[in-house]
Amino acid sequence: MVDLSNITEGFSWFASVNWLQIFIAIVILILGVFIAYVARKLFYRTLIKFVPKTIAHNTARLIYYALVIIFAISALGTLGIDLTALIIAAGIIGIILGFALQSVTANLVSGLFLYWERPLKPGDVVDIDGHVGVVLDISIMSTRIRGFDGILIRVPNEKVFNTVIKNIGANVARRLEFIVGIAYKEDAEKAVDVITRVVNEHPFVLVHPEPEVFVSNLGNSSVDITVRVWTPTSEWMSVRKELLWRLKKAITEAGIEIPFPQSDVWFRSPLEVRIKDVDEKK
Amino acid sequence: MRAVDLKGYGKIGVGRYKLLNYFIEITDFNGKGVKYTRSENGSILADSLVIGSHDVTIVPMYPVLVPKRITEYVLVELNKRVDIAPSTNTEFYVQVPVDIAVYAYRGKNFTIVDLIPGYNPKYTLYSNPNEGIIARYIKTGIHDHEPKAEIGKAIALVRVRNKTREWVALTKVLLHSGNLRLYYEEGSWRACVQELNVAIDSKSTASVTYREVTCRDVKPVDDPPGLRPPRIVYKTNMLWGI
Repeated sequence: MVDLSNITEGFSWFASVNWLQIFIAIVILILGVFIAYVARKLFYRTLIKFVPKTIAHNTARLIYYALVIIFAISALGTLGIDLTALIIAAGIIGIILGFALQSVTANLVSGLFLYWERPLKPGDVVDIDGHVGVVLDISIMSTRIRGFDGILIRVPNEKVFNTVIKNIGANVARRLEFIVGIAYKEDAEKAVDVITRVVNEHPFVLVHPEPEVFVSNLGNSSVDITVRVWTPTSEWMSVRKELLWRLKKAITEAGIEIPFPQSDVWFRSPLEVRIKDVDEKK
Repeated sequence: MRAVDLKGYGKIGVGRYKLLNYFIEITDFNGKGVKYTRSENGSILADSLVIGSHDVTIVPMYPVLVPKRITEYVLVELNKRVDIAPSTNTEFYVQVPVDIAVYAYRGKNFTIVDLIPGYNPKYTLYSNPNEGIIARYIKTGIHDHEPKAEIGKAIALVRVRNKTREWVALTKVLLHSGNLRLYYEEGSWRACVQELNVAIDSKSTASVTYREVTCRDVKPVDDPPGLRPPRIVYKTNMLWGI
């Protein structure tokens, strides 16, 4: 006959388990996962209005995991498990990771600040630390720019945040400036008239703010005429190219000389020039 | 072939025409359609084949498509300031810039064959570079009667109402091409837009609403597809000076 008392002996630990604590721990864990899930959804829906989808998705996921970990630790605490060693280990790992991921964290935080401040947005033409191009996207770690030569440039967000950003396309209009030098013998008034006519004929040179054409400097080799015009930002480059060509053409057609730099060299003592005959040399 | 000076909007047949500084040449293409060419000083600016239609029509066009579509706005600057007494109404005619379009029709369907800039197209900035808008520009005279029809210009009756209790000076009117409607008279360069009502709210702000056309004997231009998105408010606000 089988002795049943031996069988139940193996399950004696079963009676010593605090089932209520386990139940509370499971409830805390389930509740925690549910709260983390709801928080993730709420954060995602709120953030998506302000930041790109990837940023909103990753931030919401980060919040989800952080909450799940907090609730899991709380659940373990209710079971009477001593978490001191775990917390110390987590702290040490945190410090090590903090040092190791210093630049990553800096880029991440800079990315968030860039979203907050919005000094640039995809589609803007910008100059970031000498890199000129169109902003393709701003991710959580870096900003991608397509240079005018077609090269893709990745700038870490920390650098974007700490450097001077020139947002060339932020305003609807942009000023263009040329300096046209004419020879001293030429009639400056006539040159100003020719330049003004050319400037006013161009459709994308804005009527307001009014173009300015004036003699700005009496240089070493030329009388400098400054030309300042405003153009729609989208047309700035094409106006620059066209206007410079039209000005050169019109000034040349008007018979006005554009001088090149020249210098007069004076010798302190008179120069002696000797001409040797080739035969004499022989 | 000798070029014929075009005398106005409307249907044109096979032939050679002069329009502003351009020469337009329309030739038959084996009875299947027409060949369209526009040139200036010998250089060809537009060249296309139109198959399945011989119906080529010249119409006025909203002044926002050529030389390049960079704005939806038109700024009409008055050549003299109009001082308006408190709570006073006035009305006058002005000219609005228009470009020229060449349509090819087959029944009621049409396509744009060419867009020709009107007389000396210019642009301006309304307000400052930071928050302002780029607008197609015209400086116009103020007329008490409908002015003579001119190529590249449409006529608009402007009714102004000074709603304030002080004198105001009106120097410009801002229009949105999405609210404008163009009408034209066949056989002449007469083009019109609707009556424009300018309600002055303060010394520097006003709103422009668009009423019915007041010109007689005119027909509406068929709007090019995509030009006029659906709009809820048929009003243009002038917030940075009048």
